[in-house]
Amino acid sequence: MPALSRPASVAVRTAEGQTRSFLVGLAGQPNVGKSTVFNVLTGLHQHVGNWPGKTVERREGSYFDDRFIVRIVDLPGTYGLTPASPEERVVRDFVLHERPDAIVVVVDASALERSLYLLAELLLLPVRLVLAVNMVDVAEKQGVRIEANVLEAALGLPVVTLVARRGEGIRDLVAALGRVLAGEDERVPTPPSTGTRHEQQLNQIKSLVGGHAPAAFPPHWIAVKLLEGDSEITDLAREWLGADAWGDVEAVLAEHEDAILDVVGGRYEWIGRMVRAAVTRPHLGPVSLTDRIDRVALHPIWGPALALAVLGLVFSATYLLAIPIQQWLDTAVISPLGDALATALAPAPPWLRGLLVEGIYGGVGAVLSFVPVLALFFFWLGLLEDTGYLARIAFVADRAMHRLGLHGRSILPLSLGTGCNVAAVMGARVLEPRAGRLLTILLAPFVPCSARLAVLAVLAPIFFGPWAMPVVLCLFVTNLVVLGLVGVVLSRTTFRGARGAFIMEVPLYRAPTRRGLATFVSQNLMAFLHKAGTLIVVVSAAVWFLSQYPGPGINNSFLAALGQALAPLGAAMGLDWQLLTALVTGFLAKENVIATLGVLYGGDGSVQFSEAVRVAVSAASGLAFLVATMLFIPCAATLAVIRQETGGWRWPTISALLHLTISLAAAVAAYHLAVFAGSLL
Amino acid sequence: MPDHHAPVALVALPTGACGTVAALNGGTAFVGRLAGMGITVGADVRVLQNTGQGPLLIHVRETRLAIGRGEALRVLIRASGKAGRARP
Repeated sequence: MPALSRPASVAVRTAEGQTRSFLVGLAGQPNVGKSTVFNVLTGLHQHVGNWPGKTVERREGSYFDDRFIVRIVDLPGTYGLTPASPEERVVRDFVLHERPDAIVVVVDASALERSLYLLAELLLLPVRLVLAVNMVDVAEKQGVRIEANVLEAALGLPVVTLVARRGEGIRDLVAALGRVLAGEDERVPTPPSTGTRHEQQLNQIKSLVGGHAPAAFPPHWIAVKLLEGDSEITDLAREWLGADAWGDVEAVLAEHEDAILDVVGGRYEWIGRMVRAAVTRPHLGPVSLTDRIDRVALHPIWGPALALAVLGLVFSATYLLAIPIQQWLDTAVISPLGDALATALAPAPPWLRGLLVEGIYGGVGAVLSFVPVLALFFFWLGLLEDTGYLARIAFVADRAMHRLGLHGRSILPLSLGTGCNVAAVMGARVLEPRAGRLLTILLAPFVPCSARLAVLAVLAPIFFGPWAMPVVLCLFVTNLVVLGLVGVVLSRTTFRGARGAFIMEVPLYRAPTRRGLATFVSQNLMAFLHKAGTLIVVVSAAVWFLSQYPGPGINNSFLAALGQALAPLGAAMGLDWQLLTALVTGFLAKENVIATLGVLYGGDGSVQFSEAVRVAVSAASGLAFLVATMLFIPCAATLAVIRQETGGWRWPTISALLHLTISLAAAVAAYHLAVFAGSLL
Repeated sequence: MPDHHAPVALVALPTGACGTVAALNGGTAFVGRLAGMGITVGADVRVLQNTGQGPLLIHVRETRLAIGRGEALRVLIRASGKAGRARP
């Protein structure tokens, strides 16, 4: 591991006036090991935020050597620079508007030509570049040899080879970057030509555009992007040029609609020329480990079987481990601390004590109780992603997910959602494009989570006696059917094209790095605690207030008043105000439903409780209640992470309304069906 | 006699077939997206798996790609000599 300095003493150094500060972007296609390079370069000096106005995460870090402070921005992995997703737009805007001093382009040595495509795009932009050829060890195993100095001479920019996961070559990278930043490397790279057939049109457009575009946009690049049919640049150019001048450009473009083939083909031709002398590869590579594993992992029968087994294993390993930890956390930490807090606050007025202990501290406890599940979930998710197996699961699941209008990768968040919807929503982070991520996020809460299954386990025997098991099964299946129906409808209406074109890289298998995994888990957990956690605490305090005031007790609370006010609506579902109130308190956490019913129907002991509920609630009403509970508005924590992941209130609101409508409609239908069936018996 | 050199859709190629991309039927967004992943006119393609259902697994520019059947319908391939020999 290279011992790079961390900018702990930045202030001192800058005060001495010896160090200069630079901004550097780290770009690369997905799966080239870019994050590993970032982690090795910046160590734990990382900061995660969001790109302005986007839900894409912005990771920043820094290091310094004897001459410079280098601030590094880990750009999202993109295959090219034509914006099909917010990620590509982020990379492009960063180069154009933040004017970095240099960009390090990370490429995969074993797929050099394809990964150089991004470099070919970046060369058209006004920024200094350093090429880092990563994973040369993997390439060597395949018999591929890359001569960095030959490639460097051909490209006219610094080239270093890396094995980032072992820290090899990082010093060379820092040195090469240092020379570029210091202005000691004065080579000028030759940008790729645009394919000879459209050279004339390119120049024509360039001269038409020149002078109209803002200084940040190079005319040559604009002309290339217009020939490529880039919709964003087309809209901008139309604005810059005005109707008349744009008409001339449009005329040229209309005659050469196929110019994009020439442009992208020209890039690969150029890449071919660049690597020809630098790369030697065997005519026929050996059958790799990846090929051998994939014979099973992608097999039409064994593939899905293996994926199911792995998902099952991951599921049990998450929840079997998380639940005892959660219980331990509750008995050893959360409850004693709560008691201690209550004792310490004994002299305080009861309302303040209640608010602090039950409202706010209760919310903190709820947030903490998610930590074991989420930590394990992200550990497994990171492991599956880093090893490359997630792409195989996506491959074999794609047929089924396709019907829901989703990408194969959605199987992972959705299937693990059975444990906890919060994990499912956050797991949707690994999905592209954004529309597909949103659809997965909307569908995830329809997966019955373990808290709702716990409610079923307690109430179904009370309502249905010996028929509890089949009813529970039916309710579970109902949720999945509703999920399927909503998926089918939304993907054919609002979310048309949510799936995007299904083209996915299936990367080579590789061992995950401990540091990469640790960073992935801790950054995702921090995101949850920081953004969603605060909101959960606030909501928890608010619901506590509503359930306690004006009082005394929940029977005389605002919530109960709400339940009573909604009685006419409840009547359509066969629900009395107690059941309605319980349904609403489930919003905080689904398991609250039981506790609320206990209070409202009286009787704390379990025998008394079941008796009281059995007397008060008919089987038909019970069925309607459970149907409503299973489909009701997602819990506060789930809505909080939906807000966190989508960057606003729009999607949590839509999600809540969608669930509210469906759950009430389903409950009305269930009640009347049950009453009708009862009348036949 | 059938023309062995007429382009066929990628989706119609069996496991093991090889060829060269002859044309891409799609708008600029489709072509641009494929370009970044290595699929351009003139690129060599090998079909690693095509079971007749679900996505295909292909090898292009030293990369394994999964491509949906709908997308593979829009990628036209000119089968190479090698593929001709490989076929029964």
